Amino acid sequence: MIALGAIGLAMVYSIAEVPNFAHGDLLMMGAYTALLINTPGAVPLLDNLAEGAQEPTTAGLAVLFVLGTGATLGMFYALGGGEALRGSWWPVDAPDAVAVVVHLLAAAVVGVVSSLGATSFLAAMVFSGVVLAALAPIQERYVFRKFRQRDVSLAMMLVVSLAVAFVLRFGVQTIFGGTTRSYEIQSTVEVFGAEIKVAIVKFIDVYVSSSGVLVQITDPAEDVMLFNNLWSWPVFAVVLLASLAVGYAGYRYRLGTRAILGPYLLGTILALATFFAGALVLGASVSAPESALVDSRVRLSVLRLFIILLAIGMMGALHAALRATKLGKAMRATSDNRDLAQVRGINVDQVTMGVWVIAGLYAGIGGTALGFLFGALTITLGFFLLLPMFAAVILGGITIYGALLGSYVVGLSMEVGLFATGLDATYRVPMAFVVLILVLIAKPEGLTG
Amino acid sequence: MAVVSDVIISLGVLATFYGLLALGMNIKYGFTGLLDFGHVGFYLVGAYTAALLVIEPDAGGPDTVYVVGLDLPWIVAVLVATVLAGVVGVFVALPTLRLREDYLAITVLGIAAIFQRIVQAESWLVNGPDALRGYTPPLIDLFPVTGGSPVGAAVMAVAGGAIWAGSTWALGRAMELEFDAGTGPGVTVAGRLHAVVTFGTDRLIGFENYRGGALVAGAIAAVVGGVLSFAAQDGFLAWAVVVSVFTWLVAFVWLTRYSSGFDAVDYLTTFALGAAYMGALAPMFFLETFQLWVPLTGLAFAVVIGVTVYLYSNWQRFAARPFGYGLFTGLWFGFIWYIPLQILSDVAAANWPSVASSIFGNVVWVLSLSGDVPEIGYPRFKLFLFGTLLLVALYLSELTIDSPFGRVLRAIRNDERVVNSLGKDPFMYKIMSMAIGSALAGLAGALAAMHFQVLVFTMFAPRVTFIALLMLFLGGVGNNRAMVVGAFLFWAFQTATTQLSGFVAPGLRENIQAFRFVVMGVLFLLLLYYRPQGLMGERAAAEAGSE
Amino acid sequence: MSDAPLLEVENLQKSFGGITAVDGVSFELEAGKVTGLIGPNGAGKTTTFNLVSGFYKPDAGTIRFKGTDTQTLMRPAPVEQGVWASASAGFLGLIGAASGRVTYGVSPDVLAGGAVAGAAVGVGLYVGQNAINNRRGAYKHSRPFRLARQGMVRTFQITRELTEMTVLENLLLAPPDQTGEGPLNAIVRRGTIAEEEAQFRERAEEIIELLELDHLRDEEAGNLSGGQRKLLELGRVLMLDPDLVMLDEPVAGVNPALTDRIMEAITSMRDEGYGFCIVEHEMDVIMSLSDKIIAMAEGQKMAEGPPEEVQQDEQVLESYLGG
Repeated sequence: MIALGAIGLAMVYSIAEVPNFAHGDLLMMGAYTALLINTPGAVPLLDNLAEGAQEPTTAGLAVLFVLGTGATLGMFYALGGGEALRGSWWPVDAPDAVAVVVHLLAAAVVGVVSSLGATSFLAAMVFSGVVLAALAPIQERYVFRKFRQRDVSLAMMLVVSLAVAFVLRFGVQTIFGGTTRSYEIQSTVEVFGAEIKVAIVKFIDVYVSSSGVLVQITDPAEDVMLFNNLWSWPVFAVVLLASLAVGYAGYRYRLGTRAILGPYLLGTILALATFFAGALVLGASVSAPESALVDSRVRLSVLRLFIILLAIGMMGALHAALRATKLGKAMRATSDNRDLAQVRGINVDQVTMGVWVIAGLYAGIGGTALGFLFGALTITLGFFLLLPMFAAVILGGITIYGALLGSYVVGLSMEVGLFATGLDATYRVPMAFVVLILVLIAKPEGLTG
Repeated sequence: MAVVSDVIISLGVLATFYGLLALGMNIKYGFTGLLDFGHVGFYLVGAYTAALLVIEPDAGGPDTVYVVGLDLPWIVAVLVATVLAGVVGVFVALPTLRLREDYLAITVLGIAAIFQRIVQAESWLVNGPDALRGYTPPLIDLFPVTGGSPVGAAVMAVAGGAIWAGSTWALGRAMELEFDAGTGPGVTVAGRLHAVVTFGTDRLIGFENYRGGALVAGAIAAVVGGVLSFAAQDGFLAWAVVVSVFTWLVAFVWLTRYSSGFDAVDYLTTFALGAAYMGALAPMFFLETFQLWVPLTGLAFAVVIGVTVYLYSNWQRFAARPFGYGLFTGLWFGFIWYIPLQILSDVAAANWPSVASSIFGNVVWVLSLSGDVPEIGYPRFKLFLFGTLLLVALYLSELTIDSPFGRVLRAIRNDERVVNSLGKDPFMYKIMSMAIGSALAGLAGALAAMHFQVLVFTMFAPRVTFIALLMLFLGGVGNNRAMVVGAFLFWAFQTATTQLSGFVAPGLRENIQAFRFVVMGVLFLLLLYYRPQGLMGERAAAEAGSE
Repeated sequence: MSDAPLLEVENLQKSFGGITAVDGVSFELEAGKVTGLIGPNGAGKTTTFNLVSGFYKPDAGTIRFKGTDTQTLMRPAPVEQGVWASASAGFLGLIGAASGRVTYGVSPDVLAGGAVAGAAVGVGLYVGQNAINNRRGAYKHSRPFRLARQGMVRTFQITRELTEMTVLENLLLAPPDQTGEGPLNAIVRRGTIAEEEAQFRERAEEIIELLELDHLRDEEAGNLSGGQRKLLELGRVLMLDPDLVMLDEPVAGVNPALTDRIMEAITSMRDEGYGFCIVEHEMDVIMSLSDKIIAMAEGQKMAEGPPEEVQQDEQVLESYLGG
């Protein structure tokens, strides 16, 4: 989950050359923005337009519609001014009219989603994403670009971003006060007539024993075993080998050289797909073993699963965007060398704005997801994430893909470190830093840098 | 009756130890260029070390648990805390100083966060997430003191004598500067005043030895003050009045130096501006409804700020001396708050005795007149104590920075590789710089422990580093003396807004307190953009401006 | 002292990410002589320069200054090793105490035991790592300042004057082992410092006069012209009284009048016994200054000898015309 935030931070760091201390607070803002949709009644000013915590009036809905539409247009505008609204950032050349209409439609859709979907968690996520995507570039435009034009040192930029973080954090506190807030999530959603309890936690137990690997999924609320599967070691090995083989084959004999799916990525995806398919087919149902070498239990609800999938999906989308769109290519060029990119005719300022849009979008969605995962929204939410995020980005050597790797290293080390040392959960954040410091001492340039 | 000198005193106390904190930051960032976002960590180390050294051993009660209580005298605690923070600074510096400046900043921020978490999580160490209590500040049992007692006489002798000596020195300095200008001693206001306050000894000692003369005058003043105070409460009061008035006079002498070249128009303009800023707050006092005064006050402020900016950019007088104009506008603003505003309601009610006592109480700042009897309360003593420590630290820092050592530090800030090519190890110097800066932060922490008496981990949030940085940039990067100014300005702003938030409904107070941080952040951004070297700039520039 | 040359370079090699910048260069420099290092762009002159002055670490080859291997010179001193050892001891001691607490709860014995055990591991690790490093001959820290203390001082191609300090301060920075460079001395031994400062100041004034910078004494170095900065760098080097001065393009971008002044200064200093090694593109300057020329191309030494000889060397001519 750190990854979503870390991507944005890494992009801003590497492309906009701002070590942004305000990024954590951007996430926090995202989390709070979602409140506008989720519980409009609990938001100051907006509460005048609502009858209850989750019952906005028509006027309130209208306000949300305007905000949603406006933010979407603002987001597109930030991608490159009026040109962008006419489709200059698209991967394909489209007539101006088409682009404008599509953008307007998109804005209207977001507006409708924000107003009609009010109080739903997903609508809140979308809304928060676009609002932040529209707000983040403003920081760039009015603060960071000014300082960049002055050619200030990196240290100065740090101080500046710290000041911005201050403004954001206490700005939110000015509006929302200091009390802790949380989202209201409906526990059931109807999909095609079937009722799914999205917020109910399921247990996923994994046992590793002498007879093989056993996975059980239970619903503790109704005490029902939903899934029960054992893979004996031979089967497990066969599946593993098969997936590796398929993965390698995918890498070796890829069909043409597609730009979006690099060979490594293709191989990995194929391998994983084979692994899961094979695992499902070849499993056998048994009861839980008496003695297991490792047994671990993961608590997962449909909503959590959704968020994890969403995060993976967003990373994929970003990957595609960076590979396929003009803007993405320009971003990669700018990241490599800002001055060179400028010489080669790339509008660096515009690219930078685009980076902030993406960073804002991801911060909004990521922040909302975090707000849900944490269960409570506080002003310092962002700050506590900032440190692991920075750790992840630095570990990754300030590159976008490096940040992904770094996020997993940091996330894992936080959990493993806590588990191994048996320390308090208070030490979660410090653990990330111990890893960072150790890595930096050994290799002052970061892992991939 | 409203005596607000107490407010100024408590502001001063905060400004002293935050000034020390900013001073430490200045050594690190201002002179050496090390951006230490973990500065608060050393503040924390200093505070908790000092507290653990001073409090009594853990009695084993269920509410408070801490690892050790040594029951040592405060001065030992302060020294140990300072040294320990410096040592911790070295240990933090060893692995981190090799990193790039942005990595360095983030890593030390992380280390400070770890310190904070340790304090929070380790309940056996310093009472975990709960507050660590039990710090008894030194000599607190003696206070408040009044005249007619040996203690009162002693306090008045020491404090009065020291203030006297300091003020006389300041006066002598002003006199020397005027003498340089060719007026000759004795004929200026400063010179005449100097003759009086040194009890005529300056003729014997010689004007050029005004430093020694200040000591002599201070000693005489100590004796006089001690005897008067011991004799009677009235003597105590009278001497306090004399000392207070003397300090005001010295302040005026120095102010006239800063305003040299000011004519009536300048004074009037700055007064008008100061009054306008105060006036912009007026809607707050008179309007009850929140929805009404917020926009009105905002509007009024926008107008006044607009006028100031307009004058600055279009009016020759202002543009030529922005420093003097800014200073005097601020002073007038403070003055209006300090005297006229406090007597406003009494004057309206024609309650003249109350008016008089208000003015008297605010002028005679040496004594607290809020109680029944004029006395020297503990806050004043604390200010005196902290102020002395601050001055000592400032003096030593100035010596260090003026030496070849300081020259190497500034060279490192400029370009490390040159220092390396000249046969000096930049790493060692950076370590030393970190040690000194951290030790100063530790000293600030030790004083903070004494001031707050209660320590909670939330007091050591990264925000404190930000505040220290703000003070640094407010005062002037690479200017030790400006740190005190920066700290004072910051706390003046804090105090002013705290006073103002008294006008807001309690439910909204939290929002307002958050809002002032927003204002501060925006001001900080503007400051960084328009005046990145700080208000006073580096020392050399500041001296050129004032002398 | 033996008759060994001031500086001996043998089979020096350095590559950056697969590109070999310096490929087996050997030469010798003598005291009281000016040696010019020439070659087209990318010939590896500046890299050689940085290698010799200790700012880069060579991949292979030896550099001996006054008969001592410079890489040995730049090894960490015992004091420094002690600092690092105690640092790692302290750090791991803390970790030891913390893990002791986690495993066995809080008691003074556990904390102390953990700390001691951690410290022991820390020292052990440090010594072990050091031993391995010694065997491999690899050092993380490059310590060019050690070379400077031995008497080899360099300047930079793009002048690196201290822009925020005055000309005088720039010069005063240079003298080695100033008493006032210790922060405690700055407070305690002010008398000694003042005396020393007076001496240094006198010397600095002499140099300022020699370089004809007197009218700029209190000017911030950032306000100086390019040529004046080059002079200032030269002056800073003089303050150190070195045996070998390494100049990286001392007259690049300097107007003719100043160039003459710089050349005069170099010549007169050479006559006083200083050794010089100069990288320079200006052929006239380098040829008239140098007693010996080393021509480089593509990371290798192409020719070596008196200026007249090298000037006639066909290979050299070719590489210049071709490059």
